[in-house]
Amino acid sequence: MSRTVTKLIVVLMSSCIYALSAYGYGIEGGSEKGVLTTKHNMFKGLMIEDKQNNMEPCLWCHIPHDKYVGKTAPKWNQDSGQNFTIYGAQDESDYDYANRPDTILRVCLTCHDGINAPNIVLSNNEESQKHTKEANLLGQPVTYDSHQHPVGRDYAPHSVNGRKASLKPQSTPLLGWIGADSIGDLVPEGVIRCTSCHDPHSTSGLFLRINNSQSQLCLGCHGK
Amino acid sequence: MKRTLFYSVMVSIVILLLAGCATKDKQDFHLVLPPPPEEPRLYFVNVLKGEVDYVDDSALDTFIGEEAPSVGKNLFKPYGVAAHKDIVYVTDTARGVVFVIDDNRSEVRFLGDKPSGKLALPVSVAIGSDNTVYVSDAKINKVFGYNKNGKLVFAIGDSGEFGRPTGIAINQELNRLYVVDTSKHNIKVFDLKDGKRLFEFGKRGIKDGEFNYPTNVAIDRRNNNVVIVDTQNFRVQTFDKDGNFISKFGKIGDRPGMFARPKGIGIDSDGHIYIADSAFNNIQIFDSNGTMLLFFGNAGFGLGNFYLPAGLYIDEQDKLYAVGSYSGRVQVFQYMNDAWKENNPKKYQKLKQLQEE
Ligand code: HEC
Ligand code: HEC
Ligand code: HEC
Ligand code: HEC
Repeated sequence: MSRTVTKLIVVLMSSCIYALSAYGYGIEGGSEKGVLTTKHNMFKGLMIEDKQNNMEPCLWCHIPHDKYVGKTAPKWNQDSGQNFTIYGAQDESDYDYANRPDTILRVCLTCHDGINAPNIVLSNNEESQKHTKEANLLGQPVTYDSHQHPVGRDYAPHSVNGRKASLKPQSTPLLGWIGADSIGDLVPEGVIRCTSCHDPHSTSGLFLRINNSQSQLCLGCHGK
Repeated sequence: MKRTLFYSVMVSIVILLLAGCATKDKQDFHLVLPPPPEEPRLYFVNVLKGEVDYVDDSALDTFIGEEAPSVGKNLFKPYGVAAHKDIVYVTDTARGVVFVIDDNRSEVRFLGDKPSGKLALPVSVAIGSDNTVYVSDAKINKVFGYNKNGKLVFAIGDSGEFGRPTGIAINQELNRLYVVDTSKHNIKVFDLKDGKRLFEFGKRGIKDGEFNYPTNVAIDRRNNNVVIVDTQNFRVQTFDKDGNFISKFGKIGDRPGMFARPKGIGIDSDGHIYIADSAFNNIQIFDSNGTMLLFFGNAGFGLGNFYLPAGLYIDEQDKLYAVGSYSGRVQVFQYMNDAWKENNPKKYQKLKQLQEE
């Protein structure tokens, strides 16, 4: 398991997220207050009395960890009282990024189902491509309110697809991007994901790491 | 962690043991829950994906673990499910249709693909006493009804009526339709006879009887209670048929009995409440007081696992239908109440033997 992944799991499962800021994590482009004002604070507009240590803006994605105590063991299976694995992080070690959304994708997709939030349909893995083409032939709406870009794929400038898409080297510096100094920062473990383009901690429009006027977002990774 | 591993190893052993004797007979037990030596409560029946289910019989042999070859039109991003007499209705939010998976005729039909009553973002499905199939659409903001030929026979939702209609459930006895309005944070109740709105209940908030982005609903057939998944308050609330608050359970957290992204709900003949949570990729079962009984599932494509689970439904025969939205399938389980165990002594015996092996 790579170090970054381990760190992420630790972060996502951390018991007291509000302490993160105390560790000196600056959330670039935003702040705890910032997240509070975004659409991702689903308590926005509600006056909550018990502020739970200011956790509201974070608990939407960073699920608070509760220490397991025996008395909550399920009645029908006394032996299974362990904590749940958040976002399926457990199988992180034997990842098949191409076919599954990784933890970081799943975080987003738990809400972006068309019911809680705009429907994001992954439509560029191979299996999906088949479907998408077929759906087009049938003249049906392929997706609703979504954009189509591969996610969960390796960022591989030297691969056949990578050359076709003229991907720049990971070391390419980025200027003016939120939370990233180089392409490498956008693709932890070398994989493209939702958070490559969106930073949920920012308050920028559509949470984009850089606005896409004149395709500058796209040109961050793609050459001409 | 040790414990988790132990538990999943146990489950896999049971799956392996049973997979060895997999045949086309759907009655074989491939997965029993909870795992031995506990008293068996549920067993896995089969899995539905769409047209691939009926391509040819040999497809059934490959369903354990293996990805069946993608033939025909199959579920892409399903959400809601309902079933009646072995006909299973599943909404697909990406394709904008309802799959009608008909085991009696071994075929798949579609609803909402014709110009009249065309769907855009179908969410939830429910079946009326006259077999009309009702479907909520969160983009068109209407609830449609289709007869058995797929013809549009019902529509509610004049402009402004719904913010975003999502979960729906029907009380066949009272001929009432309950519609969850996620963005208006309330529940609207209609008389199916004439489509008139009877009343609505709930408003945004965190107090008893208030909601924060509610999504799914089910009806307790024993007492007509209405149970609502109050998703972004991380809890489940029970009301009587007229919308009076009765009880609630759940809060945010990662321990059994807690929720992060609760979605689908089903209620069996004993009044147990099943909740799917897409952040934990599992299903938790509670009694009607909210006491935790069992949970099962983890992220994955194997039997008894889920990938971003969404809608649930439990039919009159206590069959549980569980949608995996990313895995594009519906898993079917049988809940065994005491009557089932009495009426199926042989099967029950077989299950008990498994416990001893
Ligand atoms: C909409 C979802 C979402 C919300 C809300 C959210 N986070 Fe995150 N957070 C993520 C995801 C996804 C990651 C991992 C990917 C990344 O680093 O951007 C993450 C990573 C982090 C990290 C680790 C960053 C690193 O580089 O390792 C910290 C620290 C963090 N979040 C703090 C917070 C705090 C504090 C809040 C509340 C003010 C918050 N987050 C709210 C989704 C969210
Ligand atoms: C707790 C639920 C939840 C999670 C988790 C979540 N979102 Fe959202 N998201 C929402 C809601 C609600 C909206 C607003 C919908 C609306 O108002 O139409 C939204 C809106 C957005 C928007 C549009 C913002 C705008 O200004 O219109 C983007 C982009 C987005 N989310 C990206 C993400 C990404 C990326 C992740 C994963 C890191 C994520 N979301 C995780 C609930 C969620
Ligand atoms: C390659 C960059 C990129 C990636 C990867 C990406 N997005 Fe986006 N996203 C964008 C851009 C650019 C927009 C705004 C342009 C538009 O409207 O199409 C956007 C818009 C959105 C919106 C708001 C638009 C709407 O449909 O309402 C949401 C929600 C969203 N993204 C979620 C996600 C999620 C969830 C993922 C991961 C599955 C993801 N994005 C991955 C670039 C990206
Ligand atoms: C974080 C880096 C990154 C950003 C930003 C980015 N892309 Fe990509 N893009 C990729 C990667 C990685 C691939 C996948 C290459 C492969 O298949 O191996 C890709 C593939 C593509 C492809 C080929 C599609 C396919 O199906 O294979 C297109 C077209 C594309 N991107 C367009 C865009 C556009 C338009 C934007 C701006 C909205 C954008 N990209 C932003 C990294 C990025």
